[in-house]
Amino acid sequence: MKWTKLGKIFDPTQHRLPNDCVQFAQAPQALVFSDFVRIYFSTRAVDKSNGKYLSHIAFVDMRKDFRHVIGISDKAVIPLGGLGCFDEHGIFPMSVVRHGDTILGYTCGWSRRVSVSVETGVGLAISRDDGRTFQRIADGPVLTASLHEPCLVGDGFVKIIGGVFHMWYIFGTGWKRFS
Amino acid sequence: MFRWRKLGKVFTPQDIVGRSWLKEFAQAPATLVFDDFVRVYFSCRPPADANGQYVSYSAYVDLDRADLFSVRRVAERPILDLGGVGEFDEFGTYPVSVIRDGGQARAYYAGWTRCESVPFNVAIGVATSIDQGETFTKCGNGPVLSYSPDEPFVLSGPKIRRFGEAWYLWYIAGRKWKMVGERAEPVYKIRMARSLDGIHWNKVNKDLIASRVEEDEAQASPDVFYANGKYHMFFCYRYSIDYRGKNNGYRIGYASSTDLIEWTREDAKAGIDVSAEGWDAEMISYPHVFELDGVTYMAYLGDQVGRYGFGLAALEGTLD
Repeated sequence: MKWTKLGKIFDPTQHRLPNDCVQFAQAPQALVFSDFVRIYFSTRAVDKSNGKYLSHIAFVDMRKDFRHVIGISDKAVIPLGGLGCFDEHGIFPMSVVRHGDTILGYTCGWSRRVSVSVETGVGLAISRDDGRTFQRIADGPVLTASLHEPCLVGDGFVKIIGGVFHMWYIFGTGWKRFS
Repeated sequence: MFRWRKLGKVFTPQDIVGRSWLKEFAQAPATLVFDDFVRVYFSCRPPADANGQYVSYSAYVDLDRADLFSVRRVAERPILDLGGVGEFDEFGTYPVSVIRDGGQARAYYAGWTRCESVPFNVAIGVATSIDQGETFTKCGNGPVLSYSPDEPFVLSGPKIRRFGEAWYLWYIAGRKWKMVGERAEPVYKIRMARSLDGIHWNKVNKDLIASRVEEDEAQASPDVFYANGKYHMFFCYRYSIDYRGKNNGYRIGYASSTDLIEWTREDAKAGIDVSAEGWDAEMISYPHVFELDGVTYMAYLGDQVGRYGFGLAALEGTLD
């Protein structure tokens, strides 16, 4: 097979984004509606307390020709986690899947560490308004490190196949220090 | 009715020399009984680093079975290595709980790492020993019990038990981080999980012990002991703020259950409190109950959560 490139279809710097986000449109994830496509992406704000990044989910609605932007999320799509939570400093990326009347968002939440930059986990947030906003089901993750998957569990991609939820994800085998 | 008769402090880490990893603290005592001695695992710290930050190691002291105030031997080195860079147990292995499993011993331990917005996070690891509990090899580089939707952070204080064919793990799970001035203080509650093999765990997903002194009461060291047809849990609890002194510091509480799930808390029955003076006059914490040669003992920590060691008390009356 072969992919025909259609070109860049979205430039985040040309739009006003929620959460004071100013650049980056990472990890696009499409949710197809009857007459438009909602594309979620991760974008970034600057943490005023220390100048580091925070990642937020936003979306752009496009006509099915992918040439016309018809809407941009104008408020937070998912709140970040509270103090000490796995998704306190960002959500990047998110995988969406329809389930009945809801849309499930499997988030890759991340928070900052001291000896390494980051740790991640997979969270779940649910939308009941066609994907405009999502509510985190709880403060903790649905998938996290385990005996033989020691760190950086994240990037979950979920499909429901034959009534069974399947998640593809990544994990870290370890960190290496390059001085 | 029962009460605990205090026997005094049994181990003082400051007395031990020649171990760079052991300067102070002997926290969270947990026993493994041998024919002629009792091995008491504890967690300790080397001096703080240049930034005033600690790491924790776990080790053991062997007490003479015929005279628990006679120290026969102290571990020459920690029972577990710290984890590698970025691993959950990079900065500490504390506390630890050890159980026999056939000819081996198995340790469940809390592994610590350092975070940016809060001081730390903790998850529970497992390791096995083929040398009678002198050294342990981790079963994996990650935790055996970690975070879940309703247990979002700070899984610590494991206590491993077996009743019948099942494995039980009592532990604590963080509920919230509470900002007190500039400092983030953890609030945690007592939880439980069950397993058929000690590796694959099912969380009960329930606070076992109702909070008493305040909603944000922190609870730790859920130590379960079976006697006289019931399960008895001794644990410790503290207030959420200003808990490093006498008024709001740790005390030992008590609860009982017939099914391990529903617990009745009756702290007034605990039968032990701070002393009027001495090494445990400000706080008492981290109880561990064990039976030895017809006597039921409680090992516990005194002031500054075990900075100066742990002591023993003996049961008077019956656990009923």
